[in-house]
Amino acid sequence: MVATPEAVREWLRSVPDPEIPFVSIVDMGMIQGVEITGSQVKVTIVPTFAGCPAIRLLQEQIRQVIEEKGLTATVEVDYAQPWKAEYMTKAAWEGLRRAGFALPQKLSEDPWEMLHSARCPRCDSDSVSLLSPFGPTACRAIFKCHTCGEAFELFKPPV
Amino acid sequence: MLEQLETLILSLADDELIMGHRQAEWIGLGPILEEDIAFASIAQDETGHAQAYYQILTDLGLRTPDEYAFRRSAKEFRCAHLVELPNFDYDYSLALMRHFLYDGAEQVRLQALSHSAYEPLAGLAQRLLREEKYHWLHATTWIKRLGRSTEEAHLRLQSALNQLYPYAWGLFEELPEEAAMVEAGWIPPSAQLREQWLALVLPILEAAGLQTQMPSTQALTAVMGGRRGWHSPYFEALLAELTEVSASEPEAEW
Repeated sequence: MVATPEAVREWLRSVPDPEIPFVSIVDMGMIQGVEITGSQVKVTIVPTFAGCPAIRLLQEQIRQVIEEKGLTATVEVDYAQPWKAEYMTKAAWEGLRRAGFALPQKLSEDPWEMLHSARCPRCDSDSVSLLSPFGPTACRAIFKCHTCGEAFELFKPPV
Repeated sequence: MLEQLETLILSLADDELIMGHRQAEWIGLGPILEEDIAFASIAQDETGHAQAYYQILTDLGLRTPDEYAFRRSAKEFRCAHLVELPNFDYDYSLALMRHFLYDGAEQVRLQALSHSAYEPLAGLAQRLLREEKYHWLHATTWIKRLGRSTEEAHLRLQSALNQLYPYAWGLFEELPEEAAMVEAGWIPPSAQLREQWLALVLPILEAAGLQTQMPSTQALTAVMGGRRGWHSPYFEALLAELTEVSASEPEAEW
């Protein structure tokens, strides 16, 4: 089978982000490179956070998807370049929103500014408090909304 | 030069690995749930950062991250004594102060490394700096708030600072053969980084009403040596715990 980098990217849409399973790793902008030599595919991924514990799982899932197409695959992790929220597609932002995450209204290099732009994803109030910049995964921060009383999570990219 | 590069990268990676291990010991014991989660998340970041540093060496044909983390003797580690200290009686002010002093050093170190002439290190430093901003935000917020809150909080932070301050200077111990690394443009001299660190942390401590005294030569001598493989009395026990599971089945596939 002859594959193209575009086709490989299309196949990888079936691999979800391990911690935000409503969005594919392709839409998250984690696939940095696809090189094909004969039946050998080399995929380079950039993890959102370097300490993401799911990196090995991801490598394995990517390899499986490609090998199911009858090709061989190697999956390399590139730590020497940052992942940026700007790599995310519209579909990724929409997937996060539908899953109930608050999204930063402003992408800033200043973490305070970014965190303070949060609004409640349920009632859209801006009367919210940051409970912790750290949540159940590296890419989430925890908030409480004073208007509807609910706790919520903000999607928090590296800045 | 490979040997010097390994020394430099291990000094960075081992600090992260051991700091991550000590911070992970807070899981389940944080004073409030949010702090428990914060320390868990920060510990996970630091451990991951250690792995990314080790990977640079693996890519050069040296050992794998697991071999570096789990199959070295104490004297092969290059971490500073600050990160080795136990959590003693789990006084949170001690944990916050170590977090603050250490993450301040990381800010300075990563900013310098992001201009390193050794490109894999520069690229990684640029990435890590974007993640570490949240650690620094967390540490500085607590120090500023607690330093100016109750008398007890203030006294505890001051006592933690007195205890940890000389150890934090140990993060900037000169590396073996450092001159060659500076010459190659990999890093600035440790003494220069220490001055930048002081310029970063002292104004914040002062704003929090906390005082420091320049450590005596005697106090500094006692906390140096980590970069040469001479560790604090706490390190052997830490390493035994850290490697206990992997040592029980060294050839296991994880």
